[in-house]
Order: sequence, then C-alpha cells, then structure tokens
Amino acid sequence: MAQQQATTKTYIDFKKVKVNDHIVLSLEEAGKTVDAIKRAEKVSRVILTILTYVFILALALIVVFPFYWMIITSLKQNNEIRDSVQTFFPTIVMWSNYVHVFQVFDFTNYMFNTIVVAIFSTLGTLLTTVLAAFAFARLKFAGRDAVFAIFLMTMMIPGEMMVISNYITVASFGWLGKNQTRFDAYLAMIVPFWTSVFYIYLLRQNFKQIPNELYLAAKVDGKSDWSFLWKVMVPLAAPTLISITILKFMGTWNSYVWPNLVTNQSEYRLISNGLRSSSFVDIDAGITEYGYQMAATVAVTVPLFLLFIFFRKYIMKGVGRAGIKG
Amino acid sequence: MEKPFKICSIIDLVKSLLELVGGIALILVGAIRLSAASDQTERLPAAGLAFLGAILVIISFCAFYWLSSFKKQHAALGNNYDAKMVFKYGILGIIFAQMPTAVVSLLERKEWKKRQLIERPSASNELFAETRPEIPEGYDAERKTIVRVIPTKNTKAYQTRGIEDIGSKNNWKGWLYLAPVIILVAIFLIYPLINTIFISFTDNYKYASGTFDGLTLTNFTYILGLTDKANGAHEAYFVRYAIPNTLLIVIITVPVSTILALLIAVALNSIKWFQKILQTIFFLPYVTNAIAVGMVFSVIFDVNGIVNYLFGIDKTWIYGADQYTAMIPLMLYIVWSSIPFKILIFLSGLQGIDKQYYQAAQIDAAPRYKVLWRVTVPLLSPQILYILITSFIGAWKEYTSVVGLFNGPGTRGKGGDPNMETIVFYIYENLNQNTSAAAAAAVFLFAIILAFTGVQFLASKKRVHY
Repeated sequence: MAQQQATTKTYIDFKKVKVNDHIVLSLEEAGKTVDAIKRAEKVSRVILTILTYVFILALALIVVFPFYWMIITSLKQNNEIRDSVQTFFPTIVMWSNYVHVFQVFDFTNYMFNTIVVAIFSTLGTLLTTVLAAFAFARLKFAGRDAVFAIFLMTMMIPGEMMVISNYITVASFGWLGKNQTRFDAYLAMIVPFWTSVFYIYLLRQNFKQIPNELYLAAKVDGKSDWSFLWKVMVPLAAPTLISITILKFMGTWNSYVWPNLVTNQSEYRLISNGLRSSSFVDIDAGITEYGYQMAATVAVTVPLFLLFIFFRKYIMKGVGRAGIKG
Repeated sequence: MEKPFKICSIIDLVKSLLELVGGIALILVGAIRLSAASDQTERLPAAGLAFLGAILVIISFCAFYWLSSFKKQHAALGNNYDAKMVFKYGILGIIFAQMPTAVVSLLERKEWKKRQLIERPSASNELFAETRPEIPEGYDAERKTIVRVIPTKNTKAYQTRGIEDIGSKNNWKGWLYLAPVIILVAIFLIYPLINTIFISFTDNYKYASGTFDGLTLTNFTYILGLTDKANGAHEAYFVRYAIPNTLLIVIITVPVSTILALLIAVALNSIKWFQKILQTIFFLPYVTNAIAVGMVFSVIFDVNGIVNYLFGIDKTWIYGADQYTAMIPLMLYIVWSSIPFKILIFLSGLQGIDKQYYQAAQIDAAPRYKVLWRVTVPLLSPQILYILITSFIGAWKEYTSVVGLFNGPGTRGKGGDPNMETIVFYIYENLNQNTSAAAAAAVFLFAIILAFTGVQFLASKKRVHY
C-alpha cells in the first residue's frame, strides 16, 4: 500500500469499470480498504466525542464552581475562610451562620417588599402586554406598523438615559421625599416598569403564530374582540405568558439600580439592595465577615433557584424565543 | 402606463427634508426660549414650541418610512396606475403639508390594492380560452384515452387566499387596547429621552427644584476634562477611568464570551448523553442575582481566597489592587454571567438548522472545522448578529457587576480613586449633585451605542444570511 501512495497519480491511472454497453465509470483508488477507512473514521469520531465531553465537563465545572464555593463558604467559620490554606469542605459545619444572618439581616421585611413589588409589577406587565400584543398582532388600524416601529426603536435606547428624568418625574408625583410612605415607595418602584417593549414583541410573535382562521371563526360566531382575546388567545398563548411572568419576577428579584435610587428608608428596600448595603463587619477587626455574607447570599439565591428548577422549561423557552429569526 | 410616481417622490423627499429642518429649528428656538424664560408662565409656550418641533421631526421620519415602503411596494407591483389620479393627489400634496401627502399615499395604496382584488383573473376556464391551445376533450378513440383539461392554478371559482376581513379594517378600538401602553411609554420612555437630552445642554441643573442657570455646551467638554466649571471643579475621572474601563470591557468580554458560547453550544448540540443536565448547568448563572454572585466572586478572588491558593500565588485581586489587575476578575465575572443567555440563543438557533446541510457536507467528506466554519456559522449568522449587537450594548452599560464585585467605584487602592468605575457608574454617581454632567454622560453613551450599532448593521449586510 505504501508504494501505491508513493507513486504520483496522473489521470491515466484511473481505473475504468464498465457497467454496460453505454456507461463506463472512472474510479480513483483511495489506496485503502473499506474496513480500514471505517475503522479510522470510528476512531476519530470516538476521540472527538471524548474531547468534546472533556471540554464541556471542564467548562461546566468552572460554571458551577462559584455556587459550590458559595454554599460551603456559608457553612465555614470566619477564620477558616481567611486561612491561607483553603479547604474544600468545612471542617465544622456552621449552621449558626444562617441563624445569625436571619437575626441581623431584616430578611422577612425585604422578602415581603420584594414579593409585593414583584407580584404587582408582574400583574401590571401582563395586563398591558396582553392588550398591546393583541392590538399589534390581530387588530388592524391606521398607524399600527408605525407605532410598532417606534416601540422597537425605543428598545435600543439605554435605560440610563431615562433614569434621570424618571427620577424627576417620580419625584414630581410626590412619591419620593422625606415622608415617603411604604405605599409611595412601592408605587415608585412598580409603575415606571409596568410596560416592557421586549415582552410586547415576544407576545406579538406568539399571537401571530395562532392562525387567523380562529379569529374569523369567532367573528362569525358574533364574539367581540375582547372576549376572543381572553377566552381564546390567552389560553393558547399560555406558555409564553408563563415565561413572561417568570422572567419579570426574576427581573424584579434581581433589580438593584432603580429601587436603590428610589427608596429613602432602608426598610422599604428590596432584597438585593439590602444584601449589598447591610454590612457584616466584625466590629473588632473591621473586616467583613464572609461567612455571614455568604449565608445571606445563599438565602437570596435559593428562592430563585427553586423557581428555576420547577419552571426550567418555561424560563429557557421564554429566553430562547428571542433567538428564532423573525 | 408610464411611471409618474417618480416625480411625486422627489417632491415628497424635498418636503420631508424641509420639515425635518423646520422641526429642528423649532426645537432649537423652543429650547432657547425656555432658557430665557424666568418663570412658569413663559416656560410653557417655549416647551410647547420645542415639543411641536419634535413632533415635526417625527412626522418627517414617518413620511420617509412611508414613502420608502410605498415605493418598494409599487416597484414590486409594476408601477402602473392612473396618471389623472396621481396628478390630482400630487397637486393636493404640494399645496398642503407633509402629513396629508402621507395619508394620500396610503389612500392610493388602498385603491391600488382594491383594484388588484377586482382585476385578479378568476379561476374559471373562460378567461384563458383565447390563449389555450385547442385540445378536444372527451374520449380519444385513436389512442384509447380520455382527455380532460384541468387548470393547474386555483381551481375554485372564488378567492381562497389572502382574504381580508373587511369588518376589522380601521378598527379604531385598537387604539383603546394600546392606550395604557402608549401612556406609560410616553411618560416613562419618550419624555425622559427628550428631557435628558435637554438637561445635558443646561448648566447646573438642580433636579430638586428644576431650575438651571442657562444653556451651555460645556457639559460635554467638562466630562471629557477639557474645561473646568465656574467654581473651578475639574473632572478627570471620566476620561481616566470610566472610558478606558468600559472600552476594555467591551473589546475583551464580548468576543470572548460569544466565541466561547458558540463553541459550547455546538458541542452541547452534538453530544447525546446528559445533554439536558448540562444545558441546565450552563443556564444556572442566568437565574442568579448579579450582586449576590459578585460577592461570591469577591470572596473567591480574595487575598486568602481559593484562586490564590490553587495557583500558589499571592496577589491582591479585589481590594487594594491596581486598576488592570482588578479588571481580570471583573472580566471573568462578566463572561461567566453573560454566557448562559448566549448559549441558549445559539442552541435554539442550531436546532433550527436543516439537517440537509450537514448531510451534504458529510457526502463531501468535509472535515469538522470546515463544517463549523462554512456551514454552521453562516446559518447561525442572524443569531450571531443579534447576540453581538445586544452584548455590545449591554457591555457599554455595565454597572451591576462592578457594584457586586467592588461595592464601590474603586478598589480602594491608591488614595481612594474611583478607578473601577464605568460610564454608567459615573452617571449614577453624579445623579444627585451634578445632574447636568450625568445627563451629558448619558447622551455621550447613547451616541456611542448608536454609532456602534449602526456600524455593526452596516458591516453585517454582506455577512448575514437569512
């Protein structure tokens, strides 16, 4: 075989195979048998699969590592964390860290604030999004496309452009100021974000996929647009609505900037502001106590984690829909 | 029929341009009047002037959009319609303002569509009788066959496709459905945009009372460190720290995270076992709180933390470090937290690629890297473009990761300089005291993002295949 590969090939070297009177095939010899080629392919495929798995598992370990570190650090003693020799498992499991955190960090208050804000924010967003998406997807009226194009253009504007003026607007409504009540603080945190153009776009795409014949059939049956929307379209688009609900809930949970800006007293704060601003500083040494901080972090992350485990399908579908072209 | 629409279109273009210029002039006049206004009674008409100017600008843009789409549609349909109608509408358009012309073009379009509906050849066989070759129907005794002529297009006598629901046209109730959204968007999205641009041109805007000293262009030069304010304050941190930090973040994290996400998505798509579990694992960073995990990273990169222990080095990464050393954990964190979204988009895009392309590549015995580069990447190019645009915009706006990692604008290294701040950090820092400078920085950011996105769009025209 080596000699065959060593000789130079010219076009005359092609093997001619006669199939019948009219057809002659010109075949070039590969110089290997079929079995050898198959074996080489199988080997290369196995190696490639192993390499792919190694690559993915290594990266998955790196991705998971901060979570693992978060959990074990929250269970360590404070001086063990600062020790120059790091351990991968706490020598003593300090559940007392969590007890201390729940005493110091006003957890229930922040949780209550966050849940109330999240619920009302999500309800308001759902209402406005459903109405607007229905108007954009099914109803025809003059200027519909122009208004939708303007909405899409506002998606490109960074939110920081609007923070300053929104702050001034909210202040002029009287929701900020020295005697800010809890209700005012909630209003200031909820109302500016009651609409989200991204969710309108998402839901509109979903509404458009529902066939128009249903609408025409409902028209024939004499149903109005409003009853058609709530009785037919919304149940059909329920997965997307669940995704929007969960994404909006997660967004409220993770929001930091705007609630930080808008709340005066610390008892109206949401959970991420409370986390960052509460200090777990050891009074004697003046350094932050990482154990308590990590315990607070775990307490903040776990609810979303549970939500993710139960609604994983909806979250990933809702986020992934943005990737479908058009 | 000739194409009289071309004459109309040049006139329309000129009128739209005039309206644009007039609108901008009105805005400027309104703004100057606003600055000269001393009390509330003079402010309102001036603000009204500026608002009117803005509306004119928006109308001119709308007219541009309508004209371009109308022209395209007519070019597709054949550009032949009644000269008398065009003349009549054209005279009307010349005499009146731009908006009626746009409405008139819409009316023309409707009439054109209606004519389309009427003149469409119906499916009955009589219409094509003249052009059809004569084929005798019935039993052909010579060849012992039955001959029937069947039209191949649209065998029904009524229209079956493209049925317009006449009753739901011009359904003004659509505006009622849109009303809450439009009100909220107008108050919290469009008005703040105009107002922020306005504030960036004012001097010493006090947000509490709403007063300002006057109109000035020096805000932009102030943040860039070129001029000083009246009381001698000099701003150096924006140019020294905010812009370089943000530029570094944009240039390094976006390509790295995109390429990594692409490789991971391709690899995830090709493995068979544990695929769902690994997908879930890679999606975990998305559901976490940015501040919370930032604190975890600050613990990991602590002086006595695990990274120093694993690699046996002793380096201060977070607190007390200098600017460029502290960028490394920041960038690692940004890449870590931005990958899940990209992986998800790429995965859903990969699943939409037709298997035939891969089978064709297999027949041609293409090596794997070639399949990746020549088949997968071009077919994923819409998703890649979307990801690149959104991640660049997001990288320019980076703020919460800095707060999460450093709990402040700097590493508290030398002398308390805010050496880790980004552009958005600067905006929030100066929101209360120095509102004009913050607004100027916000407009600066907006302009950069606009330019960046525009360049990306232009560069993508040739490379993105839909």
